Amino acid sequence: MFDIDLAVLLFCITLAVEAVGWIGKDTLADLFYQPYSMAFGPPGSAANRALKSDILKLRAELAATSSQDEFSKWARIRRKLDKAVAELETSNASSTAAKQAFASAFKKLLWVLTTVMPFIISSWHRKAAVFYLPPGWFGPATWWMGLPSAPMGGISCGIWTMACKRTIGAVKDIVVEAVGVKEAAQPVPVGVKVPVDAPSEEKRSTEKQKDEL
Amino acid sequence: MSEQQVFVCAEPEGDCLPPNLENIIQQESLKWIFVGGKGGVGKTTTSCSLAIQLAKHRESVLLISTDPAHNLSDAFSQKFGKEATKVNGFTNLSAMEIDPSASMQDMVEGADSDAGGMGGMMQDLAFAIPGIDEAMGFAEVMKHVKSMQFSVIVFDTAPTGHTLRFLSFPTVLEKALSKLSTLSGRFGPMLNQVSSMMGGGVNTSEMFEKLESMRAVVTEVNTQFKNPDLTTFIPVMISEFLSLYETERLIQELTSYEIDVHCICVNQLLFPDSDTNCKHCKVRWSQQQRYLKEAYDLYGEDFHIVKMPLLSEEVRGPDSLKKFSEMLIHPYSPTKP
Repeated sequence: MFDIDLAVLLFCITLAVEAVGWIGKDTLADLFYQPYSMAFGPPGSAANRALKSDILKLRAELAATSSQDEFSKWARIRRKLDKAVAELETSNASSTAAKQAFASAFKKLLWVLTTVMPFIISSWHRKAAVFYLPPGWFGPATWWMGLPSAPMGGISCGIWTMACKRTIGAVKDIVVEAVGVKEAAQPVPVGVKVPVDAPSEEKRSTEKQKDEL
Repeated sequence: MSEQQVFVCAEPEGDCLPPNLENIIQQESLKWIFVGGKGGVGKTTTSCSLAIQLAKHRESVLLISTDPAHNLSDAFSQKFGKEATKVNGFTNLSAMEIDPSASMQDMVEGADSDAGGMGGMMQDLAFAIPGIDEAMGFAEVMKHVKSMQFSVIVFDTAPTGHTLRFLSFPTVLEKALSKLSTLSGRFGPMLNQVSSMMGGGVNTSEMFEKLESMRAVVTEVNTQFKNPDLTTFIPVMISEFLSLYETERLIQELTSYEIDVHCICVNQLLFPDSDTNCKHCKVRWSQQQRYLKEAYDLYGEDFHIVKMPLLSEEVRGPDSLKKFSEMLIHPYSPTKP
């Protein structure tokens, strides 16, 4: 019968995979880096901030000291400043390296979740049908719907996933265009005319504007 | 009645290291002593004087100048060349004036004749590495000098301090050369094949051996110069703002290359008589004293600061140099009227 649990599960997985693809792996990696670094991360950030404020203070002191009248004081401040700048650079380099290492590990994990996981789930349920088609609806295409291994007359996980993916994609496109139309329909103070004659014409002109942009 | 102003030279406050170069003479392990500084401060005079003092306490001393302006010949009033020549009036002091870029040219020309087209290309590649010509210049000197068994070598560096540039990229240089040699190791056999097919006679293995030896030499040069027991640098300065600034920059640079520096020579100091009427001398003296105090403040704790006077005559010729050199060990004190 209609296995709602399986259908919903597959739909949610597909939605998640699409969402990840849509948002972008890099963006997600950046997003997740913040809490990660706070939890386990290099204890550098507080030290970094202290270092930066030190450097600013030293620079101000240096500017206030005359190199000709108080050379030894000036030279001492200069030495401290150079040392602090060098320290800041090394700590920045190490934190960038740590961030990149995290990003690459995170992206690998995402790949496993979005590719391997759905595959495993589909294979696990490969013999099950998500739901059974009313007999005779699709005629000869019924066999195709069952690929690869669902019983005859049913829809397999693979086909259901593909259908979900297509639907989600189409809905996303519609939403994006609708939001785009709304933004373009707002009065633009540059004197760009937005003809409001007929809905179809409006859509065509906004599409043209989008192309121009 | 003219005012009697006593011109007392500034002295460092508190404990300070002895203001002479006795420590250099006593440090018998020293093999390489560099004397440097920018802008006519008296490098050559100081290096010659130091060499003279060292000759009294060492088996043999070699004084080398890499300045193309032949200043050693002027200082001793004697012609010196590419080969070490004994200095007149001394038994164990020799001097040598070399042009490191010239020795590089000779090496390149000598190698080109047997390496052929491909070899020339690889050599161009190797010489594009920054600092390699200075490194090779030193390598030539070291090779030359090792065979001659001198106990200590005093280097009179070129005014720009350019000669030490290669020490700023020791790791870069080594990495570049090692990469080049691994590359050559990988492609060597292939190149040999290709060239033999095309009928060319490129002896790649010989060229790669040269690259390897270059790398080994650069590594050795770097290790020797970074060892404080073997090498030290003596900056020479005058008591003026720009010279002080340059000296500070030089010392920071040397420290970043890990080269030992623990002596500074302050040259051309004025010691006016107390009954002098020369307004110019008084003004100049007070300016010098100001910067001298700053130098003491900055370097007094860690450096031997040696004060050398500005004499009424030029310090040229072996006799004047001998007299001047005594002041490196026994600090100058103006004769009281």
